[in-house]
Amino acid sequence: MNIHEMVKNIQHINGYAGSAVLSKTGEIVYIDENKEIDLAFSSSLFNDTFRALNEASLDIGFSNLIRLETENEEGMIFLIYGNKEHTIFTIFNPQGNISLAKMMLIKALKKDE
Amino acid sequence: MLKKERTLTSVDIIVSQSNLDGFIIYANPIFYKISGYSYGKLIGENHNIIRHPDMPKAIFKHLWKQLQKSEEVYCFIKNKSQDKRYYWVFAYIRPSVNKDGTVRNYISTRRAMSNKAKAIIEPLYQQLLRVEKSKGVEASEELFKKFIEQNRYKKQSNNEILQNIQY
Repeated sequence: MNIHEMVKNIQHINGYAGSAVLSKTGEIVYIDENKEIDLAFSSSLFNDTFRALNEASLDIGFSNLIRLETENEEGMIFLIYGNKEHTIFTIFNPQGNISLAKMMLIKALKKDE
Repeated sequence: MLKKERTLTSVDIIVSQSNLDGFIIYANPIFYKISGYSYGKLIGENHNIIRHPDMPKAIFKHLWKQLQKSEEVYCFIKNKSQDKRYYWVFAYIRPSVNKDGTVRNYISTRRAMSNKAKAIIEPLYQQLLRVEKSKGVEASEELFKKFIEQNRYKKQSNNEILQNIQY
């Protein structure tokens, strides 16, 4: 099962709102068809931020980042998980099963390595 | 002369963000790759830095009219790269709107234009450009409106018509 198929499994988790998978060079290798959320734009920006923070971590002598989690005022959760090759960007509603999503994302990236 | 074409692959999605004056405030790595500009060079530039001379003014007028109404717009655009090559895109441009309705900035995502669309749009734009040179931009706008009406099926919106041409 490749990373795109594993991400499709995450779509069944409660509270799922959208996702995209990007390569380390910024290509969007998978993106949901979603008319409500501009995933192409949001995933690109979050991917750039994730990669920039990863560089910062390396620059201060630490290892690669594996995740970045953010939340907005309305409780929407943005999860960005990455390895050396890919970044998985997902958005969840406040009532979503975030714990399960995190487990699935870690699993997807481990299988991708 | 701008001759050789650069082509986008299926995973190439160009993303950019412009302020209200059209100056680029964000460009993703794919934008740099396709346009040929080195990293960071596009920030602060006006979006017309990639405007190709083969693009009819009528298309940009249509685009801005939609955006000024705070509406999203789909559009086929021929852009030029730094090395004087060109690339066609199917662009989706939308205003990013604050909760009070004011526009924050403009966001554009651009994908490869399909061959099906290119076969229709390339000769259309050549015709629009000829009309612009001989009769002016208003005549070209009229011709574009006529093209849209000819392709309208039932109550399709302009954006739906252009999406149908692409897919």
